[in-house]
Amino acid sequence: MTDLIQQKDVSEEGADLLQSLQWLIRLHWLAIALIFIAILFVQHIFGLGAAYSQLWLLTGVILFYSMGFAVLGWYLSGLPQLNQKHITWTRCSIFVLIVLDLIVLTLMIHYTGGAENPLVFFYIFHMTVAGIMFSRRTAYLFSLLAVCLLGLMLSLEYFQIVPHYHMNGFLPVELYREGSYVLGLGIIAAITIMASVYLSTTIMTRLRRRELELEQARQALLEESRSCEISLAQLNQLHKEKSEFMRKVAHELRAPLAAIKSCLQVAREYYPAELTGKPREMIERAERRSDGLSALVKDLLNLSRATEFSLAANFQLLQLDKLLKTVIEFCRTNAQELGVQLESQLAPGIEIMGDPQGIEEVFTNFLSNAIKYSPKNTRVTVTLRTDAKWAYICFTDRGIGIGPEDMPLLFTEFFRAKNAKALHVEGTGLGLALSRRIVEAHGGKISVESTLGEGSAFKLQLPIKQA
Amino acid sequence: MAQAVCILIVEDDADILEAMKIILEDGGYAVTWAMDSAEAWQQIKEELPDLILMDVMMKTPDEGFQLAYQLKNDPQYSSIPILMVTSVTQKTGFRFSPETDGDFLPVEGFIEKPVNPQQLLSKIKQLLQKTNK
Repeated sequence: MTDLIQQKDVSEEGADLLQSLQWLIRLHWLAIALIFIAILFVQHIFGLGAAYSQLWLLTGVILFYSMGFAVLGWYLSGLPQLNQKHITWTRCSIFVLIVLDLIVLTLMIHYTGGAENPLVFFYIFHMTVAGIMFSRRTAYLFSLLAVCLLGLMLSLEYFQIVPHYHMNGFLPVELYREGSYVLGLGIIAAITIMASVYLSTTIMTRLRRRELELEQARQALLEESRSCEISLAQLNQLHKEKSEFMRKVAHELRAPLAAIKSCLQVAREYYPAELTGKPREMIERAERRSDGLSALVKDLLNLSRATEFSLAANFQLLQLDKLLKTVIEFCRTNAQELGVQLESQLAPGIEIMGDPQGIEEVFTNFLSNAIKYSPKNTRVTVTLRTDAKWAYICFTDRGIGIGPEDMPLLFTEFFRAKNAKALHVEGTGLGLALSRRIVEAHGGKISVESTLGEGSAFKLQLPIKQA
Repeated sequence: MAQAVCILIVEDDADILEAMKIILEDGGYAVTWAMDSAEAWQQIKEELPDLILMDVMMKTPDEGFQLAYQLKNDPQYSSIPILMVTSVTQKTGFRFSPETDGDFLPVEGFIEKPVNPQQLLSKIKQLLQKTNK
């Protein structure tokens, strides 16, 4: 238990003790009020005989030292920080307060009939308080003090060393000289006092053990969360290294790929006589695959670059309607070849802060996807609108759509939906992942609504530049 | 018949060099080549080319730029048109735009890698016409 108190920091311990002292003082006000009323009742309503002047004096004494400790408590609670000295004061105050209480209680019992007054059981209150506030050993020390005080009083009265104050009208006979009664009362009171200390300290020990366990659990949890933070930092570092590595690999792939493509192209275009039939077909196949590989490398590079977009180094003012018009014109030839109509409704004057190349890449990705997966004689619509905070861009098509099972993976690197693969062999599966990274780096969001076989709507949300 | 127009290819990738040689020879040009700056200087001193086709990234990422800069600042060679073959825009992510940054490096033209044969030939033809070769 003391270990527990030592584990807590000093100020916390001080605050706890001070709170206990103040609680004890509040109890004293209540006790004083009750004593006051009790004496008035006994004296004037029941008209019992007792040593009233001594009782009033004792009430005054309680009031006096209670006020003293109240002032101390008030002074300590006004301090910004409690140091070790203050804590010792507080602890001693509680100790002294209980000792004074026990003495005053004994005197009160003495002046109201001694052995004949059932007030002897009021010691239990103090024992409970001591059991709550002090260690088991100190609490037993208090109980010993209480038993001694009671024994002393009973003995002194029994041997008539001090006078006995009989409460006239309460008990018809005087019992303080009845040896067996006084002994019996003493033993029973002592057992009761000890038992109450035992009970309260046992309960408190259990409580404190629980508190300690709770504190340990809290510490363990804190440590866990700290190690989680470290793991997260390591993971982020790893992610950074991964994307760095990816970029390096992509760079290294570019040069040989360019050489392969150049050689294949020259072979096909400059040796038409030597290259016919099956060899030509195989060269053409190789060329197609190296084109696909180039696209993949380009996307990989862009993807790793998108991770660094958050640096916002290239951010500039972009007019979204103009940018979208450029992208639509760029895709128009391709759409015409595939028999897909392009429509647009673009609200003018919407501006964002962004990376022009990145945002253009995103728009091109969405629009060319919409065209690529649309059947002949259907329409692809691009809309741009705004509210107070966001610019909304929507690409709607009547294409093949996306199955619900593919939705969660749509923006994952290298993922391609089954129906998309069936329709077009080529495709890197990086376009949407790249777009998502770029949009998120701009503080934006992407959402998709789609029904398999009916079409899709890709909705893009970007924060507009606040005027 | 006039002597064939001579083009010097500076390129450290042997395979791309071979492909370019085929394209240019087929286009009717006389081709010499060098695989680094030192070789290039040797070739230029031996025979003054009518045009230089130059890769940017060789031993160092900017070897081509360095060589072009030296040539353009040498009055003896500054009139030789240079066509830079580059993938620098995509490769490094830094925005090198021939339109806006061309003044910084006064070469006659840029062409993107991987090179399309028709584009390369038409670009060369265009440059040679400009310089009256």
